[in-house]
Amino acid sequence: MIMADLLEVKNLTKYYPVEKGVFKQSVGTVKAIDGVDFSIAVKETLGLVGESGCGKTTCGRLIANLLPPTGGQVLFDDEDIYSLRGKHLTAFRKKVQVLFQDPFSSLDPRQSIYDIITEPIRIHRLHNKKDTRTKVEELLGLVGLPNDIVNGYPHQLSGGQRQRIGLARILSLNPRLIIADEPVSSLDISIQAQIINLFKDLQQKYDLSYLFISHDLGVVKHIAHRIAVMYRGKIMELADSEELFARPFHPYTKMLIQSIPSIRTRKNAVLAGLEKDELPVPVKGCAFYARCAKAEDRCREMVPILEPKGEKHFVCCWNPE
Amino acid sequence: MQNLLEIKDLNVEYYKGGQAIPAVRGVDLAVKPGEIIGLVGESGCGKSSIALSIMRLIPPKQGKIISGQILFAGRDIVKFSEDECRDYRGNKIGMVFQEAFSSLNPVFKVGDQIKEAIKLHNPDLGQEECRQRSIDALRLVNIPQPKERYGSYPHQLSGGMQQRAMLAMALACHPQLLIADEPTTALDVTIQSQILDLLVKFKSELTMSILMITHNLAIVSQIADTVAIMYAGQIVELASREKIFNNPLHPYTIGLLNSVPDIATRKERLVQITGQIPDPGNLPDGCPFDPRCPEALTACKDAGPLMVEIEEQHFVRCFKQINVTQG
Ligand SMILES: Nc1ncnc2c1ncn2[C@@H]1O[C@H](COP(=O)(O)OP(=O)(O)OP(=O)(O)O)[C@@H](O)[C@H]1O
Ligand SMILES: Nc1ncnc2c1ncn2[C@@H]1O[C@H](COP(=O)(O)OP(=O)(O)OP(=O)(O)O)[C@@H](O)[C@H]1O
Ligand SMILES: [Mg+2]
Ligand SMILES: [Mg+2]
Repeated sequence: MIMADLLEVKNLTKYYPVEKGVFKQSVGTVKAIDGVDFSIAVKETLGLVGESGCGKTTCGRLIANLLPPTGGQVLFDDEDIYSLRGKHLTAFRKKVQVLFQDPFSSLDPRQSIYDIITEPIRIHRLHNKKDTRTKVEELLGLVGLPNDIVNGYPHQLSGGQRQRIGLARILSLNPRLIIADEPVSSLDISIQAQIINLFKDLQQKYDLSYLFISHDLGVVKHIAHRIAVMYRGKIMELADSEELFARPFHPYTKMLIQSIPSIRTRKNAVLAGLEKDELPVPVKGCAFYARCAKAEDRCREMVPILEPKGEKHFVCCWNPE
Repeated sequence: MQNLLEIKDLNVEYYKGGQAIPAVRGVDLAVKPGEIIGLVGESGCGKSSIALSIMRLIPPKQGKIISGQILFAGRDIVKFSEDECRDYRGNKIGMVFQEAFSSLNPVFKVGDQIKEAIKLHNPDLGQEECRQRSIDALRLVNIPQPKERYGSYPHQLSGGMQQRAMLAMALACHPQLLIADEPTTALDVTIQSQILDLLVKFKSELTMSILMITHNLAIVSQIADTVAIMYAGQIVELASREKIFNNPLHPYTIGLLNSVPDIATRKERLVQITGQIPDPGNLPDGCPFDPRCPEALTACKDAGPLMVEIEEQHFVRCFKQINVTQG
């Protein structure tokens, strides 16, 4: 059951300057996020999918208020997160947590595992020393790690173990929204399944919301209630999970669904329309134009907008079918 | 055919709080020229430790190769001096590390880092030629706008671009053996497929061998000639791709195949192998998979099974399978 909106993203943009030479002359911009709208309800998981470089991490960092936007708004509990200051900002930083893409560089190699897990507790002064011990054991239990792991250092852990430490660490703050940036893509499948099940259990237990970022539609399908498909900084399609797989409208979504590899059929991913450097970044028209098999003249001329197409289903395409 | 790489009875230990932790326990593995071996197994089973052993990059204060041989074109890498190792690394054996970001230097431009690697391995080439090859390498791994991206610093690239930049660097030196440790975890399926195709091309055109370390069985099913399944520091099943996927014999392999999320069905809960991998510092006396094994026999508690060739070129480390074949 989906409740009220926890997070609302309105026309969010983030442009990075492309600089050249010693004087850092700006020679253009990378439109990492280009006018994005969506919302996440309490206890909802929104999956954000798209290919490498489309802007998923940037979007996650913007929502966590770790990066200033170029334009647009993000409302959390109806408050504009970019105007939060002082204790309101501190409170926000507790409620919204990020699980980073790279479990290797996100853990400080000089800190012991115990110090890593308890750092947020110390920063926010949540527990005394004794309670912290108990809390750590509880957290380790939640993510399925043995207690004695806390005496070690990150380099002694495998990739999967590190990612679980990252999860234990942010759970210590009882967040309401977790932005999980590719949380399982570096894990092996049996642990992927465990972690996805764990995400679901935690959601039930603590009414958590997730922005679940992944390049893998197959994984997202198993956890997200709704899915947003992103291409070059824009949302191309947004719908309930089941609906998106049953009735994809956007040619890009269709391509993504078709290219999910399966060990059962052992089919190869569909290689239609590759992302190549020859493809110009269009100044006008649809971002997907150059790769689209269905492209028409107006697709080259006019930018499509995300419009409703059926119940709770939105598509950004001039020619959806 | 002569093996390019032959690992014999490799044992690797780490030290933790004064205790020795066995991470790799008696691994035998051979790679032929132009062969792609998929090394699969759960997190912590020792895959990266094998890779680091081949590169002789196990951090000396943290662990070491206890025993065994790693023969590369007939010469034992384990006995190499540091100078010989340096000559092999990059040149003859290329590696894409699991932690793409931490293996790129944050203060240098990505293109320059690749250029330096090329220059190091081809001292006769001019700067401009190296630069051009660096751009070509970026293009080869499908980084969009490679000319512009040449000047990007690692943090300005997305996760998947960093991973591809690492691969570009390894491939630019045309190694005979490429060790790729989870090289595509950050890549979506379309780009991943392009990368896999690229690897297959290197394999067939340059007879490059690849040791592909991954947890992703879909990747293995796409490109591996041979698959090695690893559990708690040991290889537990070794066979051709066809045999592993069509006739898996070890209960662990069967469990792994069952836990692959299947797009055709949306299950409320994914199938998972119950339990966890044993703590390498505290391994059971018997078969390490015994506590989780749905098919465990009483014999499995007492001693670990040996690797046995159950059918031609299909090796399994499991008492149940040994019993079956012995009637
Ligand atoms: N600090 C930065 N400076 C300049 N460009 C940047 C910076 N950070 C990201 N970019 C660019 O913004 C675009 C989007 O990057 P982002 O990391 O959000 O992608 P992503 O969807 O997370 O990709 P991946 O799946 O590979 O992680 C990329 O072209 C990237 O190079
Ligand atoms: N530097 C180290 N010091 C101590 N223990 C280590 C060290 N590196 C690895 N280990 C331990 O050795 C075992 C094997 O680790 P390894 O990194 O080889 O696993 P892996 O199969 O590559 O796992 P993953 O899929 O998560 O990368 C693990 O139990 C790990 O905790
Ligand atoms: Mg990313
Ligand atoms: Mg590893």
